[in-house]
Amino acid sequence: MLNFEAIRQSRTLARSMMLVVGAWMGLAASAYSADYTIGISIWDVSNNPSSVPIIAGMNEAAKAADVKIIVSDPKWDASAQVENIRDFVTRHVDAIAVFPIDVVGVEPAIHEAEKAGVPVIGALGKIEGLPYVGVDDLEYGRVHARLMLEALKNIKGPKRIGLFRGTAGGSPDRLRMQGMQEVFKASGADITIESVTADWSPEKALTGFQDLLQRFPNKGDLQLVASMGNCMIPPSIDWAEQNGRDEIIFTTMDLCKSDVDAVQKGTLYGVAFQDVHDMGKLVVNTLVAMHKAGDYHTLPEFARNPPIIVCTKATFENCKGRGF
Amino acid sequence: MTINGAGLLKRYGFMTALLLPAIFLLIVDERFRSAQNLSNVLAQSSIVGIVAIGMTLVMILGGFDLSVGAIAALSGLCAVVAFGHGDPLHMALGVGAAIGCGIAIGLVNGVLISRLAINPLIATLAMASIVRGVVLIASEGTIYRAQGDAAAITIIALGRWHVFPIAGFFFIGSIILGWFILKRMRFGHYIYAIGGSETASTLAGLPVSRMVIVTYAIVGGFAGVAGLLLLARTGSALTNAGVGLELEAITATVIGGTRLGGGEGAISGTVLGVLLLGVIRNGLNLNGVSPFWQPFIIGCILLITVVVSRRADSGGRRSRAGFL
Repeated sequence: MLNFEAIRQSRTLARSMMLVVGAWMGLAASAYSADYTIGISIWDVSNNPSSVPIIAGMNEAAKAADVKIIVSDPKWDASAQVENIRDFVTRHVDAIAVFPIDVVGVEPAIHEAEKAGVPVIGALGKIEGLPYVGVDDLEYGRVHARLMLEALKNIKGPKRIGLFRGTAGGSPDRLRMQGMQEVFKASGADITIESVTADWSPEKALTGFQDLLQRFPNKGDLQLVASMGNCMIPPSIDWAEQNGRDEIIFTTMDLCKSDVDAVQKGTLYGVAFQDVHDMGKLVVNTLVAMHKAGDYHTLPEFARNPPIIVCTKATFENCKGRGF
Repeated sequence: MTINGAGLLKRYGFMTALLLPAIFLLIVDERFRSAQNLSNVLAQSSIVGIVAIGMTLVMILGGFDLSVGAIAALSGLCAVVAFGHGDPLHMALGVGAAIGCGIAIGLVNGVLISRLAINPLIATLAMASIVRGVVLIASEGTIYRAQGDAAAITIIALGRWHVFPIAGFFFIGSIILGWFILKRMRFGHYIYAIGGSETASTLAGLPVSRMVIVTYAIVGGFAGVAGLLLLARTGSALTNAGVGLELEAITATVIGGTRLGGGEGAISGTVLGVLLLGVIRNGLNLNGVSPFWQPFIIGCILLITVVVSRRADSGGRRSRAGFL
């Protein structure tokens, strides 16, 4: 039976909590007295390992430039990100940086913000018609695909690649995949991709990898395993070693400390990555420069084409001391 | 002795229906029935399974615990910090810290629910948010890896005794403990009684408040063990560890026949529910089903299985509100 008393209690509690949160938000807003305030909506602070170094980089840059930043966490929910943007407009921030969960889904809210006179830039996810800071996910996928082809250069015949995907349907996953497929098609190589649902989680990636080895139990059935995000490969490398499948080559995108260690040991062939900490700094510095120039349509020179770095054992200097 | 066909169907039809996907895969898929794969499925299902056993207790009591995933994340973090470089004393401390942390948070949940009369949904949801926040604050969003000899902790999640996964022993231990509590202890009988009617239990003089607190503490303890296994699977305490664990555990528990309103349920049903989820996911991965199709197919299989099992179990009884 439905417990109406409990429902009534929880509604009252929810209302009280909303009042407290509202009051807290009001206080927080009034505490911002700097001349320039940036609202930032970033994917998912607790579930995306890249978010934390990005925010750390943004905080450093904001402190250095004496500007305020307000970070909102839409928890990988595109509709919550739309609400983040509307909320920033209501709070009269001077500019907004959006790390898009979906580059298309976020467009209507961006148009609303622009109509209200609040400039918006896209960060680490290219949104049509907006200035963009960060690497292009499509190009990022292409660079990773070239790294995979390099790793496979000594293997003859058809090749099968296991790929740990991000969150299915999100634009980083979709565009990176599109970039990879373009390069593989252009290479003329006979490549089959076996996608594994991993949701950016190392634990889920390991589960998918264990199933993949059952599906392709013989040496030579699976030549390479790649990941779309950081930290997802090392547990699978350990599992492959424990189960006599050390012939499998591994590559990944993005970088955490365990990835760096694996590259150094030679168990991870290579990584294509953007330095997310530097990207965080770049987002804030770009908006500050655009504000000073009075032009939110043109990217400053320093923000154009940030590098996609490739690191292998032979070029280990590229990732030494990086990662988080 | 006479064999009553209808009685047998009613008694075992429900459980058989839950096993249908596994039986189907055992017959048609050679890779699925390999000892190595079945061992993987058991190991992969163990973490959800341990949490689901705890969830069964609290749901029979008439409650919910949405904080178990967050508790698992914090328990893993506590453990890896306490492990240090892995000397035996610190390892033991780490194990104690993980389980103790879970029990402590569970106790707080119990007090909030029983003494402050907060709806379990709200109390444990708020606790989940607080605990996730603590994980992020304490770890500064970075990944804590097991250092030195402590890296050997991975044996409990990835190791095997012959072909049997060591993680499976933890699951079986939890099953035995859960069964013992529910079937052999007066405490378990009280759980059923309170879930059936809290008012009647209070009038009968049962220590309802104390029972609620202890049950939530037990659930927290189970979540602590799950956190230890999550840590062991990747050798790292991840800030996003255990995300979605609570929903998987609740799903498995409800599939297994535990009544949402409390008062009914059994460990055996929950175990089948856990294995059903694990088998479906494994079967889809083994057959290379696209990540875009997997959620759709999982939903359909779950619905069909549960409809078949409920028809076998209910003997025509129906609740339009779905709380039967």
